[in-house]
Amino acid sequence: MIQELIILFLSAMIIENAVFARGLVMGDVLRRTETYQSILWFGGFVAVVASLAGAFAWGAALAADRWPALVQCWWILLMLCVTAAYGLVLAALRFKMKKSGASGAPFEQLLASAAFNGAVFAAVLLAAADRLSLFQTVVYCLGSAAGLTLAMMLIHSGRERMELSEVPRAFRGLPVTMIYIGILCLAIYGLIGHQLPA
Amino acid sequence: MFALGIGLPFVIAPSVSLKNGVAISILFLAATLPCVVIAAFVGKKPPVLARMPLYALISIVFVTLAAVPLGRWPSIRADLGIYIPLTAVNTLMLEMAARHPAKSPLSALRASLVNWAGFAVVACSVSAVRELLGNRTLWEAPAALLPIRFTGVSLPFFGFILLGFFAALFRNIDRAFKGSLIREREMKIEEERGA
Repeated sequence: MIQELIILFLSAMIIENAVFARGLVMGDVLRRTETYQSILWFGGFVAVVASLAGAFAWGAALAADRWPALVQCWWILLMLCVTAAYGLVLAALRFKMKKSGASGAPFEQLLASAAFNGAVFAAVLLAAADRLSLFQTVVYCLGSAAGLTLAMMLIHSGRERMELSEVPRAFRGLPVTMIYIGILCLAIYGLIGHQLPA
Repeated sequence: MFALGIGLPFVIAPSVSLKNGVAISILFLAATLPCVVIAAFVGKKPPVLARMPLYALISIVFVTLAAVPLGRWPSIRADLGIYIPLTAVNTLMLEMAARHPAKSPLSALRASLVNWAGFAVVACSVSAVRELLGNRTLWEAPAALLPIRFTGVSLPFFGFILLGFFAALFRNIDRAFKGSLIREREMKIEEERGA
């Protein structure tokens, strides 16, 4: 059982990585990778929202089994699960900030971006499509968030080095970052053990 | 697109043929345009943090409706996969509707159409190149430009690299265009001074 969960976690983190395997969250990857701290906060929020939304989606799948008409608006139902998860986390964040007396505005903005992006919705969609159990869904969503955080850190460290390098003018910024991510993507694809299609 | 990384996921992974590129562009329009126009009507009335979930929900409704005709093309639907519902959380819609809603519905309509057109041009160009190199076809009709096929072009890594080169080309063209405009203006100023 534990071995299965570890494999599921690693599969979500590496093989089905939101950035390298699916090219998701590029807007946030390019704009929110300013510091390692902001990446960790972003990844943390993604992990919490995705896990909660995944749990709600598991419940929604049970409801859809009971009432097949719900399948017609399946995507809307999953988006409602993400919204509910976001609402809960936002309420918890505001409660915590009120108790500590700190300003939560920057964290609230980050939470909104973390909740409504391709990585969270994709994790919820895929976990629901695979009909995983509740525990497996949560582990899958956590693995997906961990993979996203690691990918963002890898891209950030690469961009730091590229800023110190002599990059041709036309390639500075986004172009060289995209090429760098593409090469990383190919390397990870090969490391996993895939081969190029014949 | 090339400045803020908007819409990149839909060009990197699913746009491996021109038909897919056109389909994802249409879905992108369905996900973005209604939300941006509704946001212009509603303005800043909803609280800032409620706007994102609100427009994401509105967007997924329109995407669900727009995806219904895709049932006639099951291969395209299978190719696009989870990217169909993911268009509902695209960064362009979230930026224009939730973060920076337009002041008037007309300007919202114009801005969203212009931005969508930019996305569609890039998506279709990248898809066409990938289909030509990968399958030696265009719109599923034979169009062999090269004697060999590059089988890896359908993978995300090629999408990233191709977009990187497209972005560099776009930047060069933009700089050349702006450079020529600046030179024209300088020449006019010199002529006026000479006169």
